[in-house]
Amino acid sequence: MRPRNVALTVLSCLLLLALVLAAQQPPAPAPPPDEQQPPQVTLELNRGGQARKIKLAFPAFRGPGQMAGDAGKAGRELEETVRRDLDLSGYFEIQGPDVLSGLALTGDVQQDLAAYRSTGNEVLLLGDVRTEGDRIVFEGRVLDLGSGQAVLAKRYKGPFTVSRRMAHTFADEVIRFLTGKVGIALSSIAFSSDRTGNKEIYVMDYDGADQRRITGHRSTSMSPAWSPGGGALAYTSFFNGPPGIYFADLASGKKRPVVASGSLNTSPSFSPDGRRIAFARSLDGNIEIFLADADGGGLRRLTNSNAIDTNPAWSPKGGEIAFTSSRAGNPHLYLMDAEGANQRRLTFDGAYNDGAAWSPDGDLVAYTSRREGAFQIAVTNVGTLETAVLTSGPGENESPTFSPDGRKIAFTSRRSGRKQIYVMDLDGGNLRQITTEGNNDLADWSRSVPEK
Amino acid sequence: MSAAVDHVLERRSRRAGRRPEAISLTAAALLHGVAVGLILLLPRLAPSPPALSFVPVQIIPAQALGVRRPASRPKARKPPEPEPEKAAPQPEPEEPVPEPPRKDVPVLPPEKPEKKPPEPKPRTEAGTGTNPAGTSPQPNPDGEAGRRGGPTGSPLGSSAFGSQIAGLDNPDFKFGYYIDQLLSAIDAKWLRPPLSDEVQAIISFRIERDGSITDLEVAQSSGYNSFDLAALRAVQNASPFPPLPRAYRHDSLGVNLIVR
Repeated sequence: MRPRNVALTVLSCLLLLALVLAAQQPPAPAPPPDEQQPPQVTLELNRGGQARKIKLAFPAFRGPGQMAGDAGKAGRELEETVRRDLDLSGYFEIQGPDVLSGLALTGDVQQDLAAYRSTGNEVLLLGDVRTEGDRIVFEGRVLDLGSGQAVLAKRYKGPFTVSRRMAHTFADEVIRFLTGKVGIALSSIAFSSDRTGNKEIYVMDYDGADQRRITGHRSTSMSPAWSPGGGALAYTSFFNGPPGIYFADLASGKKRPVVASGSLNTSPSFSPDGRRIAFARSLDGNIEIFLADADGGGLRRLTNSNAIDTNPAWSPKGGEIAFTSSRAGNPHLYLMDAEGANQRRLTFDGAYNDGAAWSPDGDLVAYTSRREGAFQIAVTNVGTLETAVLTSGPGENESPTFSPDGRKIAFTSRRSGRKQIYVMDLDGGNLRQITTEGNNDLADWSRSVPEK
Repeated sequence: MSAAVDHVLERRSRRAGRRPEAISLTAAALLHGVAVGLILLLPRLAPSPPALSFVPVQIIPAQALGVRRPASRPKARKPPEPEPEKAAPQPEPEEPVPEPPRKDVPVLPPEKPEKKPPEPKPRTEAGTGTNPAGTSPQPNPDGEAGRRGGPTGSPLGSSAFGSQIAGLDNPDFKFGYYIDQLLSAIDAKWLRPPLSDEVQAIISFRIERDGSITDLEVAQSSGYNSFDLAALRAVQNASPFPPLPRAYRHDSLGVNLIVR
């Protein structure tokens, strides 16, 4: 008995000691990196204004000019793509070789800092391209022109065929380091096109490059919707009779039906977690909004009106679904909770509003609105119901979709004759046509950019 | 009677039998005392963090840098090279893979952070120097200073956020573009409550390497809860900020922001 008690005492003492020591441990090493006490900056914030563009010097890359054949082509494409990505991002005011050629540059970067600054530049982007066998090696650097110090430096290596992707990756990295924002150079746009004679689903890079066909149903396939992760599409196709919702895995190319029963299933939209799909469905002629699991199970009806309810768009935060309903006589946008409750009207202007698309932060809904007899792209703030019309004139502007950074909208327009996809800034500026072949419409911009 | 005796005897025997427990209890109590004492005492023994010094200095956004670097700066360092490719970024990738961030910074000049205490006097002339940090408020020996400066000292006469006077106590942070982006990001989220122009608060926070923020707090209250909260919200909503520049050698950047 007694020895055991003693043992207990000793044990508890040891335990306590250990505890004390343990308690002591963290504080001891805690203040150590003190010799490098991170410094403080004090700044003053005065008042409002808008983001100023970063002035970027972008001299010609070293290398592509001296490279021949495929390597030279890849190198030039890489350089052009980086420049274009940064230009399209809207964050920069770029001085390219044409402007910079007027400067007296020595070629030694540290000696040239003042020269680059003399035309107002803040940062300098340097690229170096060379080949190693059948590989292209790209080194990109950004320097702060005030200090001459590195903001970022990256090196990429791969086959010639990935030069564009290297460029996109680097451009997004430059944007991240200089603005703190996520770039969209690696995002993609899905759309439908009749360029082969049948309406099929296609995917292209955000700038219109590398357009590739996803479906080959030789029927009518349309209204693609990206899965949140960007690895798959849901779409509508008529190839098996009545329109059904189908799912295409982009990596494997495999396709499978999600819901193909009933008389009509169209306009899929993924929930932000990718597990469910909202879509318009009809059994007997009256179209309502339904939900299904991404594998087709769990079919459930969300709306129940005598009018047409269609074109659901799941909000990025997942709590709400916007949709079009003619329950008030004309088609208008409505919101409901993702369970179907709390249905309420969102648009009141005009006599036709359809095709809701959410901004990535969930603040705005863009849609097609008929104004003075013409279809235009309009945007409504979901919180304040403030509305702006972004396009004007003839041309049937419709089916908007937001870029993943919320700064641009892609949409369909007939302004050049056939239906083509255009991209514009959120204020309607910087309009660019990104498709040319056949009729192209119903674009959906991927929601996220693959994580690096 | 005998019952009372029994009672006493029983108590004694119980006490005798318990002695070891009593010892351990005492030991435990003592050790607890020691532990508590240590815990209470240790933090006081640790060196207290240095007080923040506020040194009003002019910050010149890089955009306006028409001036040469002050002579005091170490000169001509090698242009930063991309770090050596250690793990080759992928053998046969469909996609190029950015190199993982490195801890080591071989591109960095072995420069000493010259910690000369900045003059505690607000300057009003323009163009202190190129670097918002680094330059202590000495007159610029170049004489080029202020070429683009306005009368307020702001090189950005027409900039989005008007003049920015800032105090820096960090000679290491030399990235004008970064300060610009930081201020412009917060600025875009700053909704000033309708209070007198005199009202101001100081918000402090720390920017981590990846641009996220920690330790966000009111360092000096405006006296108005609504104002303090609005200022905190502006910073919170503006984050994350750009990742800290590679050549900046610390793990984080402390910022004191005067909001008015």
